Amino acid sequence: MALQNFCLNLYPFSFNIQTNLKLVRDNLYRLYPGQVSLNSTQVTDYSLSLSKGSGFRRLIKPQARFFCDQKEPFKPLRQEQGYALLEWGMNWTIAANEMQYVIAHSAVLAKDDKAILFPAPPGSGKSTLTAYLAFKGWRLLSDEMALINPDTNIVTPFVRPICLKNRSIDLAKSWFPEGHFSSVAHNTHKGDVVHLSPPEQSWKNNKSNARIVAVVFPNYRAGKELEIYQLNKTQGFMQFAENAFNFGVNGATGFRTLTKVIENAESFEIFYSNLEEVIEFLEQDIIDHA
Amino acid sequence: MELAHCKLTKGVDIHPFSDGSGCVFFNTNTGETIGIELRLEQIEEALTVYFSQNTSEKFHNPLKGLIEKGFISTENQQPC
Repeated sequence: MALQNFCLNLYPFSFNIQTNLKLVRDNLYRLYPGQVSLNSTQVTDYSLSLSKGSGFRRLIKPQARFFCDQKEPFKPLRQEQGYALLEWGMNWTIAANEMQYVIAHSAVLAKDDKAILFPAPPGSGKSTLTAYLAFKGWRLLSDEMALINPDTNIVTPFVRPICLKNRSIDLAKSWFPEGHFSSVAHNTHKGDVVHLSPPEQSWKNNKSNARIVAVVFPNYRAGKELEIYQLNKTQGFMQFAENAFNFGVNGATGFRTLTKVIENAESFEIFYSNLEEVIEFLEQDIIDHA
Repeated sequence: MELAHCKLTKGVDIHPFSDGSGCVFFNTNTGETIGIELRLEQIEEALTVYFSQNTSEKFHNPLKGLIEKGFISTENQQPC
């Protein structure tokens, strides 16, 4: 495929993506139906490139290389992993450059303007929970990062596909057969990876900020009945701070912002296996009282 | 906000939480954070013991971290 230029408008940022990989083009059209345009002349915030590797290797094990504004932050990956590399590259781009927000590694979902943050390390079941909530009437603001407006408890959406791994891929495909899934990137450092486009409602409201009413730390445990632990504010802060990307870089502003979020929200740690029980808890015990 | 009597190192912020569960200290010079599940007055009380006895042997462990990691200034420190 010849080199093509795509413009991706993902409030609050825009990306120019140059690629000669058909896999990347096809997945962009599938996952960002209303956000992607070809050969736009729009000036964008970032220029990204996802291209085939050159040299002898292209004949044996073809590679994909990611560049952000001429920088190559990651080693090349196998070409079939190219789309996942682009999504991870976009995460890196925002986390490394956007210091006007306090950013936490967290999913964000909302009912109306009431948002719940789900900060968690990989393997906690965060993305599976995120996908389930997003397709059960919750509004997705982000699967990967919470963009918190400094000195407030307001979160700005950054709606993008949900990253599913390994066993959660088949689960999500059985729950939401009508969903728009990317091709599978096999055997990445995270295992098999698929991206799932959020439902229409999340795209439609992708410019509506929300107020953080709770911070919930999810822990998936197979076969476990729902256990809920309310954290005091000091415990909530310390767990939340561990998931904040640029908290240290933002200095006193980052500190004030995190304390404001925790002061104005309830904090919980949950252990679960049944997602319906989790929804019931979130809606009845948090959203209805916020 | 500062501790009433003890001297925070320059660039250190403190936030006592409204639920009385404790305080968090943030060092803007290093980006380091310490959370302590003691109220502000309990922290001050413990620091008083530390500075008056000049010993850390009976000292509450999390508070020891405040001194060792430079959140509380030990220079020209008067007992709280």
